[in-house]
This record gives sequence, structure tokens and C-alpha cells, in this order.
Amino acid sequence: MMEQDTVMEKKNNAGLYRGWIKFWNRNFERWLYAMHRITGVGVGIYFVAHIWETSNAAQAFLDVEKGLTPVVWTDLMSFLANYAFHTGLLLVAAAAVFHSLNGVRLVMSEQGWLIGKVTRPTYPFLPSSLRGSQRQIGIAIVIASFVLMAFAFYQLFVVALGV
Amino acid sequence: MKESKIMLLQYITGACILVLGAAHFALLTSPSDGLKTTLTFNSVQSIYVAYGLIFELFLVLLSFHVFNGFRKVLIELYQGKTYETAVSWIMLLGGGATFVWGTRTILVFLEVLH
Repeated sequence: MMEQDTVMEKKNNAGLYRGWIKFWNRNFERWLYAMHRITGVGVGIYFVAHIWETSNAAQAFLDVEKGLTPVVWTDLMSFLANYAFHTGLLLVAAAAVFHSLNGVRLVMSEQGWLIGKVTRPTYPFLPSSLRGSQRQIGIAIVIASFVLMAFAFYQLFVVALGV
Repeated sequence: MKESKIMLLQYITGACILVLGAAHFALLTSPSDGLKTTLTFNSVQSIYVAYGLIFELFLVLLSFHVFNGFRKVLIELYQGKTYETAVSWIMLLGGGATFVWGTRTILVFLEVLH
């Protein structure tokens, strides 16, 4: 039994490339799965960087209390106010929106709300989970992400950088 | 804790983050001159003083959701029990450290830490 389990575990191990990244030649849901992973990891890394970034504001606050200027914060903001960093923030905003909305789709699908009813498998053997409204909602999520990305573009480039 | 309960927490924290995250974006972009104003030091200070406790709640939720997300992604590589335990501990420590560092920022602005 132990040996069988080990074999099953190895068979199931598609690895980093085939398991996560390689989403071409697959269906739309597989593409959404890969994007959910990529955006989740990206926003997660940004979160840690953001905690470090905002800790500089606390240092500036302590400096102001000592009668100094908040130069730590103002210098950091000046350093970050350029096209490269704002492009990065634009991608983070898009990733956060996509990850959030797709997360809602996943939770709802897992509850069986957006997927088709289980039926007897007949040709062409389309899984019931691919029927229902979850695919249309997936498409709507991608469109909504681009729309909100346009608002983020306006804030980051037009308002903040004065393009 | 059972993985099913951890996953349920992942969903609950995700739903709360969606609401608080939307509020965070709205807070940063709502003034008439948007991001240009909200990132100045005085504005950042007033935001932390007004919403410090909500930020702390946001930080708790994000620390759990992000690092548990990393953990779930990494343990799916199926490298064995020792690997899974190591990943879980590293993510716990990473999440804890991020939470503590973020909490320090909030406590400094609320003048609890000097």
C-alpha cells in the first residue's frame, strides 16, 4: 500500500513547468489557474516589499518627532516616482484585481454554484465543471481587470506622474 | 490544524481582503488629486492615525493569506514530508516576521512605540 501511494504521488508530480506554467494547448480554465498562481505569487511578493516600503514612513515619523524632516519618506517617494516603478505598480494593481475576482469565482465554483450538474459521461466527455456560468464569469473577470487597470493607469501615470 | 480548515480560513481571509483591499484602493485614489496627494508624508500620517486599527486587521488577514498561499503552492510540488514541514515552518516564520514588521509601523504612527 505504501509503495502504491508513493507511485501515485510521483505520477501526480507534474512539477513547476508542466504543473503550473505550461498553460498553452489547454482550456480557458487552465489559463485562469496559471494566472491565479502567477498573480498570487506576484502580489504576495509585492505585499512583503510594501511592508518594508511603508516602514520607512514610520522611520520618517520618528525623525519628525525628533525635530528632523521626513526626508527618509520623501526621498523614497522621489526615487519610486518614475515610469519603471509605476509600470510595476500598474501590473500589481491588475494582478490584485484579477486574483481577487478570480478567487471569488473559484470559491463559488467549489460550492457548486457556477458549474453544471453531474451527468453520465458521454462523448465528447466534457466535464460538468466546465459547463455552467463559471466560464462566462471568467471572461468577465478578465475584462473587468483590464477596465480597472485603465483606472490604475490614469492614477499612476496621469495623476501621479503628470503624463 | 486540518488542511480543510486552513483552506476554509484561506477563503474567509480572501473574502475579507477583497473588501478591505477595495477600500484601500479607494482611500488612495479618492481625493480630488488622487495618488499625488495621498503619498505625501502628512497624508500618510493622517491615514495611519485614522485607519491604523483597520490596517492592522488588513495586515493580519494578508499575512495569513499570502504566506499560506505560498505554502500551498510550494507543497504541491510533492517533495516529501520533511520538505512539507520545512516549507510550513519557513512560511510561518516569514508570515510572522512580516506581521511584526507591519505592526511596528502602525504602532509607531499610533504613538504606542517610540
